[in-house]
Amino acid sequence: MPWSADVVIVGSGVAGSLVACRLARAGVKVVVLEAGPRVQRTAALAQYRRALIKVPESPYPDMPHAPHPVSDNPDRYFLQNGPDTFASAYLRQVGGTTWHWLGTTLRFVPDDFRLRSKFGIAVDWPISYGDLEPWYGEAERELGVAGDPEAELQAPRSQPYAMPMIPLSYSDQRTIAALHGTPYRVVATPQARNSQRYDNRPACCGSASCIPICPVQAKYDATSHVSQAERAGAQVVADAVVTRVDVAADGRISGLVVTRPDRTEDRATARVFVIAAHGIETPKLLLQSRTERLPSGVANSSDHVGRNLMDHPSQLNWALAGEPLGMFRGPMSTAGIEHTRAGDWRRDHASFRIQVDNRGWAWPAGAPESTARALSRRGLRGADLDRAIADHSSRQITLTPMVEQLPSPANRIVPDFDQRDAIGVPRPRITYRIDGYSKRALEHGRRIAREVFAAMRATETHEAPGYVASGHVMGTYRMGTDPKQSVVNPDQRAHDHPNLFLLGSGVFPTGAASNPTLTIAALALRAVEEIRKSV
Amino acid sequence: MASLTRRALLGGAVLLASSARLRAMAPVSLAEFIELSQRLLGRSKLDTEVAHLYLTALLADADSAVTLAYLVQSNGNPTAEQAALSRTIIEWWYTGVYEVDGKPRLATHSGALMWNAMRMPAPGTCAAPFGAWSQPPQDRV
Ligand SMILES: Cc1cc2nc3c(=O)[nH]c(=O)nc-3n(C[C@H](O)[C@H](O)[C@H](O)COP(=O)(O)OP(=O)(O)OC[C@H]3O[C@@H](n4cnc5c(N)ncnc54)[C@H](O)[C@@H]3O)c2cc1C
Ligand code: SF4
Repeated sequence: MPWSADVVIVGSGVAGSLVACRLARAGVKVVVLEAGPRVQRTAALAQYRRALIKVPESPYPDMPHAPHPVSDNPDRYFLQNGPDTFASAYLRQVGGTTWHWLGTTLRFVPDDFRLRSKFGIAVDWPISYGDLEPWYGEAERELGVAGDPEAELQAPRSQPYAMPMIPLSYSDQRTIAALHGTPYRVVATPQARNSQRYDNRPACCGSASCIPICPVQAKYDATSHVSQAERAGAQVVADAVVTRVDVAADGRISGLVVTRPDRTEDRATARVFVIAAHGIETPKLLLQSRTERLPSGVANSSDHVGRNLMDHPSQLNWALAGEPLGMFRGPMSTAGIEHTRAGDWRRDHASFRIQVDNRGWAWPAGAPESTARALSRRGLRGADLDRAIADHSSRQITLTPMVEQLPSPANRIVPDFDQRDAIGVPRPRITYRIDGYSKRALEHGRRIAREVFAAMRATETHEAPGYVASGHVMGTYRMGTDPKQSVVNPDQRAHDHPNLFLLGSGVFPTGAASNPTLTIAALALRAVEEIRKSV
Repeated sequence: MASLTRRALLGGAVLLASSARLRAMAPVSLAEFIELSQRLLGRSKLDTEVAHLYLTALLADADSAVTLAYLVQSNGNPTAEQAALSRTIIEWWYTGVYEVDGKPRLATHSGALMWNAMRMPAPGTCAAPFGAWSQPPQDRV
């Protein structure tokens, strides 16, 4: 069945569904084409409970027609060129990757938008913090962000948070107390997590499973905007993989080829096309749509599509605090060290934040299973074993510095035309390297973690030698004013094609140190009016 | 090649011998296994389905089947093998993860006793009133 609409949107994640919702409400005829299936929360919860290894993807289907990367095997879907491994994952299903995000919704800080003019490195964004500020407020209301107005986050605000803050965990409070008199400040994290009923979703009930799934949807996920968009009249088509973007002689996008799970093909036509398939699939789709006339792919006269791939390389530090902290309760993280994101040292090393965990050693060491295993192997039994597990798990602290990575054209994703998925679509081949600028920041983060551990009279301290991925895929179709150096303009319209918009963290010229999704949402909302006017 | 075959044959012989021994002793029943688990864990309420999974896995391995049978019959003063098997059984009940052919499998997520020891439900289940995580952990006696 061919589809035709005013606007066709590729991808039903937070970026795609937010825009679909706004446009549909404005009376625009919208079709959303989503590669993956619809997922029922109860089925996903059941699959999560049954899973042996509880990685972020465990509750969700991995469909042959819309494969997604998996955290515990970065070689399963990605083809890795090295030298470093790119291990960030995402989901392909209705609602996208926010199904298993944590929900941290920091704004970027003003300097994040001007690294070139302020510190002489990388590139500036074509817009400033001030340009985006009202849209941050709007995004916070759409996602439902709970925050502490007193928290010092170096990001000025003109509007209040949508909800009162999520209470700091007991361990956050003890960490704050221990750091009194040191240069380090732990503050409440703004988060898309309900502290009261909001958007017809309940308050957080402390189920401690935000990654990979919130049982009650107290944590925002984009299925919320998918439903709102459908109620406003948008048509959302699941299991519709967009496999080619066609360009007419005049440079306008003329249509999309959609491949269904049974490998039959359909066509979608519209006046305006929006691609919001996230940082790997969007550039892959543009590049795999190459033709004789456009040998380097769609929207790629700059040769920047697929390049400048960035993540927030993270480093795990864990230790046993000198007192019980009541770990494994509540949302997985409610606080962090954020003042390390802004400062003049950004000439020398990357900006970073340190996530303070409430889930013990779950991330670095697979606790509490690993704890229970080690203690029972030691021969403890009965009440002694109970007490030892409770005490040890209660004291487990994990600090995770997450650092900025500078754009490098050499870090890139390309479609591998020799390696294809089940419906014949090229798989992503990735070249990725973490440079000294980021590694120096990881080292600083490690040092701060050591100081925090000392302040908490911690023992059994561990530092993971390498880095881990954080699931933040950025930079691969960047925004700029110069069509030779960027893929989209400040409105996120492709320089090369007047009726094509690209949304998501792929447009970020630089990646900052803050989690990307609030900025994705703010930029998407900011683009709505331009998209509507182009219909 | 020849020595490989010989080793395989020997292995088969051992397996035959031990399962013959097991049959001679009568296999461990589910009731006996639950009683043993109760004794090892100092807990009376145990999930029968989970017990069944653990018992089946233990009986499927010739060596552990024999040791289990001896352990069920023994009256204190365990041998090194029995002590090791006891620790394994305890570990399985606490983590909810057991092994078949050396590969881990999940028996239960919410029923793993570690959550009980930590006095909280397994992740994925609503735990306590909103904000309870900001309170000091419950005092343990
Ligand atoms: C474990 C984890 C934790 C995270 N935690 C946080 C956090 O706390 N804070 C934060 O800010 N960010 C976090 N992130 C990142 C966040 O999840 C993403 O930035 C965000 O979900 C991206 O939104 P999106 O709409 O751009 O893309 P997605 O949500 O990935 O949606 C893209 C959609 O496009 C679809 N699609 C892909 N290819 C095609 C195609 N060819 N045709 C049709 N449809 C297609 C996909 O199926 C998908 O549904 C986390 C990520 C991970 C992995
Ligand atoms: S802790 Fe709260 S937000 Fe996280 S999964 Fe549970 S209910 Fe949802």
